[in-house]
Amino acid sequence: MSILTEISTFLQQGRANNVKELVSKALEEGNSAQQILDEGLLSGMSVIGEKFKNNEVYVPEVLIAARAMNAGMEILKPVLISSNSKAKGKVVLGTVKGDLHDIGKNLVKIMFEGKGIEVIDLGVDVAPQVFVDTAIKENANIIACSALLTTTMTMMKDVVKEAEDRGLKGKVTVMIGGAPVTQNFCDSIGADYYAPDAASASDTALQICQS
Amino acid sequence: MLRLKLIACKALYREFCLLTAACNNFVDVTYLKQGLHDTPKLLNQALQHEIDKIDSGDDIYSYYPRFGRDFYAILLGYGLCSNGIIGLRSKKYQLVTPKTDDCIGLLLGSSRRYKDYFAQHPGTYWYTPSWIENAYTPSEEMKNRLLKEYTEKYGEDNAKYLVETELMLKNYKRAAFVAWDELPFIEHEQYAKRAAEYFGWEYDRIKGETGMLEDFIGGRWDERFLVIPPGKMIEADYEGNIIRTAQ
Repeated sequence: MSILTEISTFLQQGRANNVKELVSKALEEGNSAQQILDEGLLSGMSVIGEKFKNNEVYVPEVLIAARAMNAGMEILKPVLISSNSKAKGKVVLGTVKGDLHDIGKNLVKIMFEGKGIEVIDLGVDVAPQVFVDTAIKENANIIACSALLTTTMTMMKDVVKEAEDRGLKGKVTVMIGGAPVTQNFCDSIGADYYAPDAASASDTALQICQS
Repeated sequence: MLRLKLIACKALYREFCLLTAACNNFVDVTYLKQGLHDTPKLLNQALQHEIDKIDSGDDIYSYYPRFGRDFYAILLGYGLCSNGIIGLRSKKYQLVTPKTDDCIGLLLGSSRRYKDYFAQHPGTYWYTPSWIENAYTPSEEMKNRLLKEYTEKYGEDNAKYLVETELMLKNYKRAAFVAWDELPFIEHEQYAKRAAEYFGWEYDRIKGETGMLEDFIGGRWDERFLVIPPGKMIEADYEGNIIRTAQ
């Protein structure tokens, strides 16, 4: 088994310390940070993400895998930053007003950072105005909103409206996601993109930042 | 007297038991286990499976239509429940379901009342007798049990981390116990109260209302309920009605 496959396997098992050790070892052995990230950490996360989607693993397994990913990123980040001159884009991220569930949002953050995108994490219970104010102040490419509840996801409409009212249409992309969110809902509120999971959210975000 | 088939979640077990027993209508009930909303696809499949069996007349949990007596409607004792009811249809019967996000609105007697409370108090963990009996609800005892289970599965370090994040203790601020006068359970109330004290949350005892569920099984289906004709499908509504019939 190659060391990168081993990293991916340990990550899927949520073994943060093993991941950390092997990431350091992989760097010493001359693997590039980008390669370790793509073929070790991110590949492990996408396996877990796929299994989660198919109900083969549940929230605890995803959480400990994400924790292992973070442990690996701690080692990789300084190396990645020194080799990549600048971030590939900037995202303002948070859960919508009234929603305090941040497991999904935190996963998205990890995957975004894995793609080299800078994340301004506003945390939970974020008012539409705060999303938009921050996006303007930080000159962000994307506003990304998350919600777990059908009671709170309707707040995303207010974020879209606030962004439009403040003249951000066509300048800042609004992405939405979370368990109850669907493409239909995205279309109905006029948001720009819907992402069904953290991995595809990061792919979409990267495309937006690079376009 | 209407003959009704009710498929309901065990999160409403005691409440529906109480009301169906006293209801003027004949209500034939099947309960599905609590917690399926965590996997909405599975909830959806389980409900459609039950409906299909009832449609074809070979559901082992339901009255078999005989002697000219058949069900007037299939009632779904669910809210939107993480979109778990979206796409459901019966080929043979009309489906009836309350327009509410989840069971808390039903227990409070109105979807509006639930939304208003929710808007004023984000970060409320809801406790009800049936939830306490059928589901995981945060408390010192449950936390320790979860910690033990996770330690065996994922090791001590991960277990501690999981209990902190999964309980989301950092974000919740309040425990609300929904109390029905008709179902006084001091033991459960005290459970919720102790949990609030243990986690340092505010505690609120909210008087529930039986009216919405009574009207539901009583056949008084006004604008609070969605009646879907046979062959039609439930779809999400984002204009404030929560659900509607797909055209």
